[in-house]
Amino acid sequence: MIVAAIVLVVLVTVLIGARGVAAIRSTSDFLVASRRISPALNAAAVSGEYLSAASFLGVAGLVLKDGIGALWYGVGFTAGYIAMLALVAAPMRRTGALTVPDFAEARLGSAGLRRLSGVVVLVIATLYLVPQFKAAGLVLTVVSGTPYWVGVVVAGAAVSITLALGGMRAATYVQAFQFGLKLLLFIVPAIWLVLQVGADTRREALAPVEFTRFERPSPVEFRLDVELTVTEPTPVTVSGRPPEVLAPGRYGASAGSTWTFAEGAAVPEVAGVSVVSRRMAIPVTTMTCVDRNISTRQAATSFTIHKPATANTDHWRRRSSRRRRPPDQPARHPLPFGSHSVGPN
Amino acid sequence: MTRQRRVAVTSPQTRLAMARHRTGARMQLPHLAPADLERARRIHRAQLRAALGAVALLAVLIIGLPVLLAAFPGLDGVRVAGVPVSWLALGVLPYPALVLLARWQLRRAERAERPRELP
Repeated sequence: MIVAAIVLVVLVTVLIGARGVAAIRSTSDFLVASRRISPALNAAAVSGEYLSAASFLGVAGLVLKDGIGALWYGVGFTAGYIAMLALVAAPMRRTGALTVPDFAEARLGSAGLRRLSGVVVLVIATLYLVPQFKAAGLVLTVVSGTPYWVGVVVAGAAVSITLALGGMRAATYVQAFQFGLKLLLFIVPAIWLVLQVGADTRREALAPVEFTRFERPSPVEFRLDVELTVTEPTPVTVSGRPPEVLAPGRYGASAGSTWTFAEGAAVPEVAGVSVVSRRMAIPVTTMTCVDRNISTRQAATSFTIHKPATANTDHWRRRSSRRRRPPDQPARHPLPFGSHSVGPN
Repeated sequence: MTRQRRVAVTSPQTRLAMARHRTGARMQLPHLAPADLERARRIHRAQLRAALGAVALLAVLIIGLPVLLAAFPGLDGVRVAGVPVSWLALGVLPYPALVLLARWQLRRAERAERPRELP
């Protein structure tokens, strides 16, 4: 099913590219589509680049990890376009230059600058390409079990053939098509999820609670392998073993284990979350290194908090009833930590 | 059916640059009639002014918004339809503002190029 969808998208991409190939008549056609692409189509194509896994999943992940302040990334991406519009786009178009190195030389009359600019373009393009091909390989491996290189070759071939034969016109058509497709694929599940989770979760999401200490004995079920950093002696009971006091240090918690933290114990830090405290709900990060807050949302990324014995915090109760994984099902994405046993690393 | 002549796909500017490289000549600035030169200078100045104005406003928005949010932490508590105002100020407000800014900049740049009405 997913493989069929991928094949369909690649086929449509190549077909649309072929339409661009058929329209090619001149050099100017190839390099700038004879400057006859309408602004709306061009905007769709540029936005197609912008609407990537990095901007969608990446920023969503950063919001989860660092708090609402990560939304600044999106503002920054967009603001960059305004600076481009004001300072680069119009002057470049007026010179009649077709590429950035052309423009650099036409504007400043230096052949050396042209070469430097060409090198910069190549370096940036390479840095962009590596993660794209990596992602193509990984995604195809995950959905269809093919070897890693197959995805890289398929993506590389589709892009190279379309671009080499079709030039800018084909690239623009393909990007505009993919913009529409990606927008649909991002928006529909997002709206569906927001409607699906129910009013309670929506309300919860709007009021993330931060806490640094467990207020009562709290069993925590780990659904993934997680690395924890304990910063002060912490009394804890691990999966039915006798109670122990963990010395400050790093510990690996394996998926499926349950740690019961004693009342008043400090919440350990989860690996990957910065030591610098980030206050979840505040757009302007407060950089206080002293208090080590961990928000429930950060905590929820890696472990489930069971209903405490004396709970009156329904926040915890709801979370635990919904997020538990059936015990026979293995963790989907085990994290690559060497030590899965409990004990100081 | 006539066969189309096949050409190497190179930007005209690249061809010129390669020719300059071979002959060792430096790039020539285009020659303009004095009246055209005067008009080109005027448009260039007007558009540069417009562009710098737009970038300055952009800086005010991008720097001013976090300063505003830091100065009024109470905005985290004020809610519109359940959503904190500070979240809306970050997640929603900048985008229409940036679109309007881009539109304004484009309009001003195009107006500078429009031929003056004949007297």
